[in-house]
Amino acid sequence: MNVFVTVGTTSFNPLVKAIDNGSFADSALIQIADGDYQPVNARWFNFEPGIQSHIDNADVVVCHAGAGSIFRLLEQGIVPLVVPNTVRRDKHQLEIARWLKQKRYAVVAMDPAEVNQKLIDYPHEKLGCVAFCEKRFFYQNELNELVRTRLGIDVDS
Amino acid sequence: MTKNRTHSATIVFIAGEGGHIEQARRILASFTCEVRTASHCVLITDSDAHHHDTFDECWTVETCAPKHRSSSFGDLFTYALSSAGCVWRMARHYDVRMAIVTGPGFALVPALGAKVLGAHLLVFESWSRFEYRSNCGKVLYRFANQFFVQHEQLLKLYPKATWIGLL
Repeated sequence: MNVFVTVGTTSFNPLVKAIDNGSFADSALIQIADGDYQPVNARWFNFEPGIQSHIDNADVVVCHAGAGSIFRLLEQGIVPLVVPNTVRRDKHQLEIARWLKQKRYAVVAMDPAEVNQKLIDYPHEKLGCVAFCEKRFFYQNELNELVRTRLGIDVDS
Repeated sequence: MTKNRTHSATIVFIAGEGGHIEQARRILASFTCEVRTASHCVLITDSDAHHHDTFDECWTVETCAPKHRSSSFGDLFTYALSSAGCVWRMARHYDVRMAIVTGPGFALVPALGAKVLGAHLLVFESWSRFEYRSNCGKVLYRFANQFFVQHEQLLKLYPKATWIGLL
């Protein structure tokens, strides 16, 4: 099983270590950002301008609970395995992790220590997830009208 | 004092690295061609990455809240200095008509500076907020001309906000 792990722009050493020391390390590619733990078993890199090809080649994408990463995956119909980064000073990733779990949009490991077991369970747990169906941005017309007014664009032009 | 304005009808987007910039990109992508062509769009960010493919200009502000440690006096000082530099630049050379904020906390000084300069302040609470308000949202809710939330349940915390769906 090809595993791609992304931690976004903020280091998340406990997740990287857990994957690197787990049973999926040989088939894992990890984006570690500026983390100071460098995997010894798994392949890794710090940052790359585009990670879409890694996502396309993966059977499972493991990601931190950053909303940007998560929504991009869900919009592509991918069910990620999400692990909130609680090493950060602010713990707001727990909020989106709870929401994903409650909505059943993703497989969630609330602690990096659980991630390897979740990888084993992923094919089964994925079946219990539902399609991403949140109400999307519906305020474009009003926003454009507001900007037009502020910029002084003539309505009749 | 004569202002040497080189750009007219400027919109500043104030957005931090990662998901905050992604939200700003999506707001900009929702602009019609007419609106986009008529506006000069500046991104004020704490990210080192370049975003000139989307925005006309990018300015960098030093962050005041490192992600893995407490803020030091030095962090606050460099933040204050770089934020003040952004506000000064807006005041001297730009006709800022609107400021669009997607967070996080470093946005406070540039956003309030833009407001003082006469810009219309639009604040979008982060899409990662469901149960609690962000610090940026808490403060700017009081000053925003319009405040938007992306998850309907946040209307309980921000009763005067507008729900707009997920960017």
